[in-house]
Amino acid sequence: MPPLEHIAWHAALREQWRFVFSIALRHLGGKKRQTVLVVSGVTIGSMVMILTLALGEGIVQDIKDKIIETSPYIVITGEKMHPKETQLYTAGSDSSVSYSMVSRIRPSERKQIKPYTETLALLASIPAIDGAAPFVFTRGVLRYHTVTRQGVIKGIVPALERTIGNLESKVVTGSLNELSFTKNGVLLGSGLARKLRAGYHSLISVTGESGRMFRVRVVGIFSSGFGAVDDNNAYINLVLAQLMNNVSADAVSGIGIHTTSLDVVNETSAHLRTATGYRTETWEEANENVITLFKRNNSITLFLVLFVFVVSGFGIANVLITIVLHKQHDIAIMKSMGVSRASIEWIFLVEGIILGVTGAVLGGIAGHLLTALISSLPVSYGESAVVRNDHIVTVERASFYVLTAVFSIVISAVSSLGPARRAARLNPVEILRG
Amino acid sequence: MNMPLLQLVNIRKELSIHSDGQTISTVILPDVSMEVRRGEFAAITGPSGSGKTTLLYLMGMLDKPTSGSIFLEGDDVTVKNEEELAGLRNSKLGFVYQFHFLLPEFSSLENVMMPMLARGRYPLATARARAQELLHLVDLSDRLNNKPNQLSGGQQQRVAIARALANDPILILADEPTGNLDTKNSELVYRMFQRVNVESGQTIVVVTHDEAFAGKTNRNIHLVDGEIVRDSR
Repeated sequence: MPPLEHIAWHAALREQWRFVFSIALRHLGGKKRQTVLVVSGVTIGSMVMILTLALGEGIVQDIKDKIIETSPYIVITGEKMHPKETQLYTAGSDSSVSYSMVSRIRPSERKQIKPYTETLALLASIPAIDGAAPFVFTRGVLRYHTVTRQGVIKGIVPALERTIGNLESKVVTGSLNELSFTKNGVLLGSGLARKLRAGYHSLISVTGESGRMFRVRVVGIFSSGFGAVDDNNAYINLVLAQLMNNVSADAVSGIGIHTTSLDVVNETSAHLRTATGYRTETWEEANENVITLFKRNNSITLFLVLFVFVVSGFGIANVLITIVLHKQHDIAIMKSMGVSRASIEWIFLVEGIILGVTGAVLGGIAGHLLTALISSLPVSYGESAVVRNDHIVTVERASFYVLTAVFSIVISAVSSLGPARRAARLNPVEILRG
Repeated sequence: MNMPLLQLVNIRKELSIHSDGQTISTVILPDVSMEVRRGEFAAITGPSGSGKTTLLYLMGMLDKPTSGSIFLEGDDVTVKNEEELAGLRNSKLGFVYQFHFLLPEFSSLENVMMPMLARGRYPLATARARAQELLHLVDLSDRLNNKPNQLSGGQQQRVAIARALANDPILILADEPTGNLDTKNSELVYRMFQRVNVESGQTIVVVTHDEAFAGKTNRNIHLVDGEIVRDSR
């Protein structure tokens, strides 16, 4: 018989953990069917959670991409933000006492940038800005034969429009180029064209704010992917828009701006606000309501998905309670041989955590594969969809996997706490007596 | 040194049963005082319900007396907390039960190793070597890797004895170790206890109904209604 050997505390601790794990694994091994079922539950929970996060983030990303692709990064509109001060009285040159009158801030009668060429010149001097295009914005009525539609009509300079966005690539019939050499040309959104039943080279009439009617020819049809834009918008030449709205030739509603990178958008916007005094709005600000709507929608979905986890938590608790009841004799015998209360508790906690971790790992893999599968499937959204695309956009982030893993481990630990406590509290005498 | 290994002083044990909002108290051991000396091989006998198993569990520190003190090597164990008692049971005591109670998912070898690993007393390799020797001692060298359900009742009880010896305890407590065995296997189990008692000088206390078994031990404690009516050496 080898001599009694007392070992260092850390080695002893390691042996104790080995003991805890070996018992936990054997217990689960003895309940294979239930273990597989419970792990499947956690797997499905994790998978759905990852898919939900990836789809939600995908929608937001899809929208952002489309916005960035089609709209200017910053828009300056002809709305004065800083009223002029009028000096009323100053008490001598050395005095600090002065009276100023500040007229109340109100939108100028017509929201215009005038003279806009001056502002364009200022924009050209800012290095962060690599594109600027003036526009005149108006609501108008479009008519083709007997069909009449309201629409948003934007007067643009096609050559400059190219510098701020990718409108050209969205034109499906005709071209942006054709608009530049057709003074009375119009580009219709695909939905608007369909509603008017107008086609390429149809001659339609447009009435602007001035009330005068103009005959314009359809030189192209565009499809941006945004339902609301495609159903309502039309582009005409800037000069025609100015005429239509009784706007002087040196005035525009606003200027769309493109910057060298997305990172400088906010600072450039702030800088422009002070430099020009006009109201500026970044693409994020302009589309805040849409983006926050989808983000909020994502949070709600995520919250609901978490309940799948709660249900798998019940599964874990259930299988552990079964094991504890089934193993009462074993627990009593372990206690009588001097296994500590903490070790007994850990055995069952470890069992629960093993179930949770296994489910999280399998669910992570399954979630990744399912996400890849779904984003590879071709889809067709209806014409009325808010955002259209030829596939479902998904975005996967490491944080999704971390979040899912943390959640499934926390849930499994919490669910096994009760059964583990119960096992640790068992009175061996009651059980050994039978 | 003449200090008794185990000393029970005025032990009283009551059991309370709660039912229908009433608490019924039953006295199982009214007032027991006794001692167990080092190297003894003692049998506790008595009719069913005489309190002999309760006495054994009190000696084994699995249960606490309602009043009175129990000294193990002069140390009062009734004032110790659960965790200290678990440590003491692990290092100083070995248990053998009527229904062997081996852990079914583990092999004979692993079952015997368990008390050595449970509190990290031995490194894995040492525990394995010791467990092999102990199983050799109980003539089960050829059954090291068998699960309990692949062993006969007698073999299982021998594995349980090997397990009780794992941490080289000073006191081995057995509750009806032969209660479930035939004469041949009972004899075998008796011989193992005797061998441990004689060869390693380990103290053994056995609760038994088995008159033949009790007759062969060197001390007989007869319990009736919780009182020691006969104590013969």
